[in-house]
Amino acid sequence: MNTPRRPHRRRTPPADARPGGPGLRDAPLPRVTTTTGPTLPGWLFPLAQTLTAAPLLATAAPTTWLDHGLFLTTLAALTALVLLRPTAGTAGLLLTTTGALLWISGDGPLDPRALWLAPTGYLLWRATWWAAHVPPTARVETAAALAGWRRAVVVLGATELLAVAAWAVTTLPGAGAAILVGALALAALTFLALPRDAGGAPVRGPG
Amino acid sequence: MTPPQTPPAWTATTTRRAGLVTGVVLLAAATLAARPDIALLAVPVLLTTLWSGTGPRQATTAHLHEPDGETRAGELTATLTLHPATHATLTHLRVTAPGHRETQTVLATPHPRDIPLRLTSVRTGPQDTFDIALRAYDTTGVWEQPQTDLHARPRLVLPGTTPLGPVPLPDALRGLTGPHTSRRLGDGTELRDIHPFRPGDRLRRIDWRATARRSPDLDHLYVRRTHATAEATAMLVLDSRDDVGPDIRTWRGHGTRRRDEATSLDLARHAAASIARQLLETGDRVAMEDLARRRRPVPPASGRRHLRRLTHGLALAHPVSDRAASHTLRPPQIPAGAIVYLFTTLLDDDTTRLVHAWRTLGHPVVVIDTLPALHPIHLPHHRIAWRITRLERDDRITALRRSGTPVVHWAGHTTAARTRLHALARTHRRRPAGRTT
Repeated sequence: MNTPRRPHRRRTPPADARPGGPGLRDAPLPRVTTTTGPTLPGWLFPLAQTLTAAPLLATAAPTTWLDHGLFLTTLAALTALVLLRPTAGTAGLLLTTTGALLWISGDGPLDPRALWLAPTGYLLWRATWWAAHVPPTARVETAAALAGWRRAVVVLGATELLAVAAWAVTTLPGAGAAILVGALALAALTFLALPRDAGGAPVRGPG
Repeated sequence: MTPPQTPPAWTATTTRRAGLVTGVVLLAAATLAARPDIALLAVPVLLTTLWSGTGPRQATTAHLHEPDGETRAGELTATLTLHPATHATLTHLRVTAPGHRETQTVLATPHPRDIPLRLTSVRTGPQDTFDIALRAYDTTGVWEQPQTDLHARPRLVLPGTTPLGPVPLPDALRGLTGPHTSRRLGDGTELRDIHPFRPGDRLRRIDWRATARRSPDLDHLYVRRTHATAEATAMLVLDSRDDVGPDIRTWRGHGTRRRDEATSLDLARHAAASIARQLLETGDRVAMEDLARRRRPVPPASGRRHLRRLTHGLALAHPVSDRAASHTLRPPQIPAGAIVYLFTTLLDDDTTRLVHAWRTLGHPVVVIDTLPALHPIHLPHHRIAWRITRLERDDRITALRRSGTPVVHWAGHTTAARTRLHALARTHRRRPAGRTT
């Protein structure tokens, strides 16, 4: 026997679920207004991190690894790490991992992929600094984001020149010794800079 | 102007250490693998880190300039002047204020510059304003000047005024001079009648034309008699015992009252300042009493300086924490013949008792209802509570109107309140304009 179906009754939604109820958020508080020049949103820098970190690792890795789930998981984890903890340490870890992948996948003394991996790594380094210091809700003046662009162009230009020089040197016989000497010179330069990290620059007061 | 603080020294950030460690590791790997391409990854990071050198030699300083003089509602502004150190081209500002979301901005500061700051607040009375945290970085982000804090001093925001038309005046005008015409004889300008000359009349009041017309033989002299002038006295009574906003959830102290919404006390200040300005501009005398404070009232006076005194008194009115003392209300003393303007939310019976007492003494009373327009209420227990409160309040308003006391709502657009006050003023004017004293 078919039991009669009870008519469908629409229950009154609880007060919290009604439009405008306390379940919905109140209107946000007003912001303190500051008059500045043109600005960029702070969330652009995590986006820039994502757009540089994943391609950096994927390009440096051997092409055969791109189908492996383990590598893709590791890539996603490292990208998420640098997104969630945007510190200089995590950016350095990502660069070091990129170097390791390049070491594994490269087949010659100078892999041509390094010509664009180096600028991409530098972009990741700078985007991570901005993401570490600027919350996604903050604003950054366009002039501030572009401050020091000349220095960045010089640095990247010098890097590319070094790459071209290294590429030329590696084609000559006996290049291994030259590479070793160059690397040692750079290491010595870094070592000389390390003691400055202990203290800060003296400050001369405003007066 | 806020005095500048001693800025802290520049320190190296973790970016410097991480850059050096990353560079050394990559160079070591490149050396071990005899792979210059790995070293290329380290080059830009190392060059940037080393190029920053020892950091800026001077400190970035900031000064907060606040405008002098009176502050009106909606004019909470200040100017932050930044003096950056050489090569410290980035300045991170975090500006907070009560009732506002913080604003974080990274500015380009190659040169000294001024940053205008503004709050979106319609509140009046004592207000806390800007708290500013400032950090500076060099171009590469390797060197950082630790946080410097700046605090703006509290400001007294004076209520603004809305131009009003005529407002109700007392039935009894007082004094020998003033902007209004009384019904008694005096030295006014409005003609009362032509009357035969009597001892005591001034000779300059003789109307020679009327005398020539009525007494060609000059047996009698006729003088022009005029109405005397007088002034009105108004008493502004501010019920500042409570200060409620449009959000009923905040009435019991829960939650945060928004700064961009006027509370009942803000509306009362605005209404009282507007009526005081209208009365004082026409030359009348205005006094003020604050129901929440046991102080001597502002005595009746007129003039522009008195308007400033009243405006400051209104801005300083605030609820007192001693509720027992504040709820023991005795009718304030009202000058003889004065009209009473009572600014209240009508949320309790004390104010209606005051109105009754004043009317018994013969003072006309105008009640200005300063309860703001409420937001929709969604919680059931709040809705029930407000329904009961509203019914009680409606009963009070009805009782006041039946007793002949007008109630003017001030919330929302002031055009309606202005029209209502104008109509009340016309009604009062149709009555006998004054009595001879």
